[in-house]
Amino acid sequence: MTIPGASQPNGDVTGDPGRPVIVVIDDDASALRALRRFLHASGFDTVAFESAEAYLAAGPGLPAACLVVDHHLGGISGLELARGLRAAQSPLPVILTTGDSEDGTRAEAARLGAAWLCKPFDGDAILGLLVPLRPPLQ
Amino acid sequence: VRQPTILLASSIGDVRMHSLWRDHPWLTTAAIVVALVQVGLMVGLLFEHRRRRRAELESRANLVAATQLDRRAAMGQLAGSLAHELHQPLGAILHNAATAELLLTSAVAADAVRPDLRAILAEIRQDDHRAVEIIQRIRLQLQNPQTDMQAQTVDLNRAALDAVGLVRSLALGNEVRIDLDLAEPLPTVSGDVIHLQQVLLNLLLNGLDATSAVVGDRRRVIVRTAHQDRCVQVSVVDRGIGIPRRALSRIFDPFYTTKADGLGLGLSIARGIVEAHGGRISAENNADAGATVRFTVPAPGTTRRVS
Repeated sequence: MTIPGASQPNGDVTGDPGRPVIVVIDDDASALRALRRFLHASGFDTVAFESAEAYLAAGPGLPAACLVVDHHLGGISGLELARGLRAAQSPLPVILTTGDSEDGTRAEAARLGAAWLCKPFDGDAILGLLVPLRPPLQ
Repeated sequence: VRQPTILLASSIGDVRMHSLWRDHPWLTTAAIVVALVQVGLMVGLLFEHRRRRRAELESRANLVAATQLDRRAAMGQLAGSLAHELHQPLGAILHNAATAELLLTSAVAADAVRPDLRAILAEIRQDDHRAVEIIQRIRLQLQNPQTDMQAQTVDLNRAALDAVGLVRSLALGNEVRIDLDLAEPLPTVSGDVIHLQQVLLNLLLNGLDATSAVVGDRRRVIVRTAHQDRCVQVSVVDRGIGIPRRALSRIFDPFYTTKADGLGLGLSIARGIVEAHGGRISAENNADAGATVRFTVPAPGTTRRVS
């Protein structure tokens, strides 16, 4: 079993085909690595980016089941990315994460139909959102 | 045993006073008056000195108290970004721990997961250290007020790095780039590291404010240190909106502000701190864009050079 983390995160897809792919965007390398590890151990594949710009340059065409994006990014913020995807009528479910619980962005996230997780969040909290996206096991 | 001595002394005095008074009445009166005036002057000067010293201590205590308030206000401004910064390692630790649990309960052989567990534990430790460092930075800024400024050996390059560390996350959120241009080697100065860091923090927060109103390349703040004229000079240069011409001469006055929600205390406190360190602070608009605020702190006996 290999766990993503040691490898460079930019856009590399891990794991075997058939598992749902989650796009993870966070500019904190350690937080990104830890979340990818956890998602991988929980039966998902991940594609990782360090910025919204990097994702937009490479990612929107990716067949992904969900986008997990940190709100506090240098450059385009997580919320701006979610807004852009909605404007482009993307059906991709978005989970916004943030370490600042006082952010006034929660309401707008809800308006955009994006889920909201406040860091540090439990693995169960994100799995609760992601598991429904996983196809039933044969 | 004592009484005769006193009697003797007073009788001698009596005799002398008596004869002097009789021989030179005006001269004696003049001498006594001069002596009394001298004593009066000395007492007066002593009281004046005490009063001044007390006023000095009071104004220093006021500066320290105002400084403390200002520091807390700055930290309040930074609370959100610091919380975010702290939650990053805490979140990573949580995910790593959850992953380790999943690996231990999975059907995969123990030997196969061993390298992964080792990597996870190393990262948990690393993230823990990172969280501790952030908390230490915050604690340093919020620690209980000291009655006076402390004289320590201060490396202003280090202070600049720490101050930039505190605002880094806020700058990232505002999409402002902070560059450091630090002179090496830089002589140390004598002063209070927390207070000098506060000056830097104030100037940085002002720089972030000034650049948040502009776009693109101009969202940039540079912190520069230099050694010249037996002083360490620290400049915070931004490419923001600049300082209105009429405000330039008053910008360091207490309660003078150009910001809608400003108290007008930050720069006056900065000036108080810099002057208490024997230095000077000044502000000017840059030729191209934005403003520069620079302060100096004397670095006496500084010919130390690394060849």
